Amino acid sequence: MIKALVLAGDGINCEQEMSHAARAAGFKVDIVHINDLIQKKFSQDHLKKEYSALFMPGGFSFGDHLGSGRVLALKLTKGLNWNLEDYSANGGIVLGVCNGFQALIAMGAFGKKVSITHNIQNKFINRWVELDVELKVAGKKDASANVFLKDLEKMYLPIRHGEGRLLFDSSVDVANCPDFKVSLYYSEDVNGSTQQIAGLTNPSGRVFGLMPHPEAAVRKTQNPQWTLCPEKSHEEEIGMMFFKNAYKEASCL
Amino acid sequence: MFNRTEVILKNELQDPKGMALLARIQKWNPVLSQKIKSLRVVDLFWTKFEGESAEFTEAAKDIWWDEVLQQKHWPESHWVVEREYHPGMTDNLGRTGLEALEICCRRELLESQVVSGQAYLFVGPELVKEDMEKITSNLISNSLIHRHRVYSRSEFEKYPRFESSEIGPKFILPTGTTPQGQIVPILGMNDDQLIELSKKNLLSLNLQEMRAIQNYFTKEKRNPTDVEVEILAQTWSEHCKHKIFSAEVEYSEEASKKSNIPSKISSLFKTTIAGTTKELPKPWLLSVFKDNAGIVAFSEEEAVCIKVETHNSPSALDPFGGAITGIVGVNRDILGCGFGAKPIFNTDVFCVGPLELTDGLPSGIIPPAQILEGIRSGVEAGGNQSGIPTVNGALYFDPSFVGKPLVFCGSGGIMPRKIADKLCAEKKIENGDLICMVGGRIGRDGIHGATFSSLEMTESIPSSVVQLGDPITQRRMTDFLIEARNLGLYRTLTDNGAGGLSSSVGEMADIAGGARMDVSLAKTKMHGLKPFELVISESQERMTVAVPPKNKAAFLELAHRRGVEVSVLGEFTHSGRFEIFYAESKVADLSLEFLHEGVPPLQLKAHWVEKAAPAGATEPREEKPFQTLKAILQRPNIRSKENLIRQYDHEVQGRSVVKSLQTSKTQRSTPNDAAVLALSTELKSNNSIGVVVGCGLNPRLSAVDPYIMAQAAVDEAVRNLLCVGAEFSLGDETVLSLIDNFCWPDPVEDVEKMAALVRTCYGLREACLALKAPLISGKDSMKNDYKGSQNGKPVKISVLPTLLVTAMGRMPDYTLARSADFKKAGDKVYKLGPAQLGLAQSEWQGLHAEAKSEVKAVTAPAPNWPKALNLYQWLGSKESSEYLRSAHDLSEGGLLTALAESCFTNNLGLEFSSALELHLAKTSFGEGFHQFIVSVPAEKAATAEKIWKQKALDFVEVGSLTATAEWKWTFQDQSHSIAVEELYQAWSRESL
Repeated sequence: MIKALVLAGDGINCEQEMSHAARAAGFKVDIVHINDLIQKKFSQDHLKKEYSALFMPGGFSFGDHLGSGRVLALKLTKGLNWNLEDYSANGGIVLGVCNGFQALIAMGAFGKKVSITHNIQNKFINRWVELDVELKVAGKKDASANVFLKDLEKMYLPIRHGEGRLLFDSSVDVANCPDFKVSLYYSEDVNGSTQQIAGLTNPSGRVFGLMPHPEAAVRKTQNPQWTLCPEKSHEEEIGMMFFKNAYKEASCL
Repeated sequence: MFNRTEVILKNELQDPKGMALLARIQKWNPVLSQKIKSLRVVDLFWTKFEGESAEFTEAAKDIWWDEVLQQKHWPESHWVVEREYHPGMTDNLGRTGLEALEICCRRELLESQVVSGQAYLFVGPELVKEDMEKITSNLISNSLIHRHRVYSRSEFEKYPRFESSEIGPKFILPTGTTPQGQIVPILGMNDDQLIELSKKNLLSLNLQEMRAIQNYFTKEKRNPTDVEVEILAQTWSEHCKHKIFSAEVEYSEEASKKSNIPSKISSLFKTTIAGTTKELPKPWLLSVFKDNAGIVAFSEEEAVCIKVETHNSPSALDPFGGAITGIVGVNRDILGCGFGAKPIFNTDVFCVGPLELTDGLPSGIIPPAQILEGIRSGVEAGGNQSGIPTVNGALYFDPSFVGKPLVFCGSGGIMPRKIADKLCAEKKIENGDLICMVGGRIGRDGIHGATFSSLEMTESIPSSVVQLGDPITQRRMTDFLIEARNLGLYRTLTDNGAGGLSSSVGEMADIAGGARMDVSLAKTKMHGLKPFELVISESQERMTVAVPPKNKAAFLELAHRRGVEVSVLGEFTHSGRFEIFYAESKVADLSLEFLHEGVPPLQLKAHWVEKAAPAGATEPREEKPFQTLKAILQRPNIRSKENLIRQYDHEVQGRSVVKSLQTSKTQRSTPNDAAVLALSTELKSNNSIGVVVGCGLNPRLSAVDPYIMAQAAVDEAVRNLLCVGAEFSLGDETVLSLIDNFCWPDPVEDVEKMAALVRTCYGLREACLALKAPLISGKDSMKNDYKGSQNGKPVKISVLPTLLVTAMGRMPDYTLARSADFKKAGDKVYKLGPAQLGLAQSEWQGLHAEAKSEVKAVTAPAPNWPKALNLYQWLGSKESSEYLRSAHDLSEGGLLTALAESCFTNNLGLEFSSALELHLAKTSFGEGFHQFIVSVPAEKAATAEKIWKQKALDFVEVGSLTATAEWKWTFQDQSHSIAVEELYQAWSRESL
């Protein structure tokens, strides 16, 4: 049985949708409140032993009050001291969506030279947007560059965020940084993010964070244009591929 | 130790917050804004910390410092405005700051405090002090909730901002006084003194009610305490007791045709609202009118509850705070419904004044543009942060809403029909169950909210009535309570809204048969709250829960684990009394019977004079209908609301099937009529039941006849559901329920406004009975008047009598849902439904009135229910989904508006049938009842027409869709055309 941990509590909002998608892909899912993890002193070893995948859903943890994902990252770091680099190097995979991505950034999963802040319009924005997948390493196609995005090139997903503008320290060469790889671009400038970047992966390709919501694009009827082809209304939507890829990857080990 | 932390964005990075504020200043005062060269915002945090400064420094770095985004040095500017909340106001950033400190220091910090604020840095050498004060008081600081200081460059340099002497006073100091109750010497008072007492203490009770209280205490042979008087005032307030709807009414009318409204009405609520539902006993009605929300069975296992609230008075004073407390408040109604439901959607309807009104408004009134921005962002913050999608709403502009905006906040929730054999809809409490207050703490915020909203708005308002919401505390509480519900840890619960503990415990005591509590045990935000303040404070994010004593330990343990605070205040009894203690001393002891039944009924008079039908009403013509349409599409009530809609998260929880906007990949949108949500979010489930939500209102028709206005609201709400494919039949299997929200100008001393209320109620009743759709929940707000002064002269502004109808229906299979956009060139377009349109109070009439062009005498629309029902039954059947590729209702702006909107998403053109008489204003722009625009695939058109003929449905062929995005209409050898792009630009250019 391949198990996934879906984080909940403190204003995380999307744990149900995330769990439904992960379950439909084959995972056995535990939705666990952060406070329960901390109370149980759920260490890095426990995480490695019990769960093949860690899903960090979207939401408004701590109301985004001191910067999105920031206090959640502090609570995870101080309370659990997980080393996600090490977790992923030992077979674990991690997906952070929206607020989960913001928390991953604040935890340093993609190094210290990246941050995320208010959209340039200073507005929350909910819409669907086309995305381009980047699965290249040193100019060559490489599926292992991101285990969630295998066989995906273009996709159409919803974004729902007020703080999705990625900024990098001026010393960073974004295309060639040892701390992260760019995995996903918006096909247009939706929030002022540097180079229209929508998602980052850690060097191992197994810790992936993105602002768009794959878990909200799993049924065709969630796609805003589905009524154009009502005969396809029972089909799956593309976000499901993230979870199927994850399951395939986790079950290979 | 004290500290000031400054979060300063790097100079080289663009500052969205500063740019957004600058844009608002530009809109508000273009001339003044030219003096501003740049504007940046710095976040400030003042901390009182109980540990060593080294420990704080390390923690502060973890919490606030970001080397990619921030710099340490303070940027140059000509002016600095600093702002923070008044002490005691809810400060969410400060509270999270303290929580972050506790995380870093790994311990509870009981003596520490964090206060948040902002600094606004203005660069502009020409700016003078008066400019800064003007900008600050208009757009930065609301004196009811904020305090601020304006510094010139030289003043700021001298300001010792890091010194303890400056930081210390930011924090609330505990007061040393022992709170005590007081005796109110009511027994010997004469009538004048009773009225004076009511006024002075904001009780908003009339003489009869004050006398009833006096009589009660004469029998009790003692004077009341201040706590008792306050509890009675809250419980008997118009807001809580709905005295106008319960009144004895004498109704008379002068009309050409006598209506069937009786001349004596004993409670409008009992006869027209609850009475109507009684005549429609649907098997799926699980709970109506008695709980926080109406509860409807949607399947064998699941029930959905729904409630719509208004938060008008608070939003007039502090639009953001008023709206956020409105939305999180109605979410608590859902959470506190039955044994607790999980909110799955929000709705919002705003009625505000025209946005161009910026200057010269009566004193104390916030300009409509700022009201709208404030209430929009309040609903955004409340819904988005709570993870509840905002799925449906409306925006309505009229000058009558300048004095008080109407802010309707709705919410729906889902609950299992049974948990461990207990029925969800039943509220039971046993003798001895513990009274637990869960969630937020009590502060001085929101004292007298219920009684205040039962008064007209004036220039002098006590700031204690204003509250701010804290969605994160509420989110934690919600998660905890749903978890506790599923574990069976509590018996039942209700929310703390208007009236605070006095109402919530008072209501639950009525179920149990009594209650005894000690309010000194309640957790508070500050020391020194008086007993009456503890009892009536409306501090947010609190629920009152009845917990069986055997579950106390488990309930408290889970709460602690979820980071939720609980105060155990006492227990429910069967003494028939509501007893309150403050530690040892008894501060209230009221008979429940008197509390709930003792209020004397109002006696009201209503007299209706029919508006004479316009003499010589002719058929107005529009020789260039497409050009007129362009002007109509730009009108605020019609114009695109995309900017507003996209700032709401309308997809969280993953249920959305039909969204507010039907948007193409090129980001062009048609507004959909109603929202469709998946009841089950489980993938691979067989359950494809859809929840359908829509609304209708048309307050301007009140000017014609409120009887018509009410029916139009019902019809629009129901038509919206039918467009997207909700089921409809006259049988019991159709799940369709309605929610009524009345917002009225004070009708107590005004026979005409009271008659408007009576007629609205009877119009509503007629429509409900015709459609066989029961009312399941509702609310009224009866004092929507502003009294103040303008240029030294007294003014009164009253809102239009407004009925909002929210409709909630069901689809057995949401994969058959329809959207409003035309989809394919070649499809045929029809208008379905009997022609029941008129131009009176239409957007077309508004356009002509504003242009000061001669307003022609025009007729009003009227319903034809028997014909409508034929059509609605077909639209609500599965068969219609085989033929209709789109459906959109014909509402504000009439036929051409609906057609234009439907063309936008897929950028299709329309070749109009030459038989259409678009030159008649009534055809092109008439508004009213029963009509729809639908598109049908060309190959199915003949069969569809055959079916409609068989069923005797009215239909008119409008034309055919074309791939070329242009409209063409040839009539009497004259051709008219317009590019769809031109229409789209008119509609979307200044999206609200």
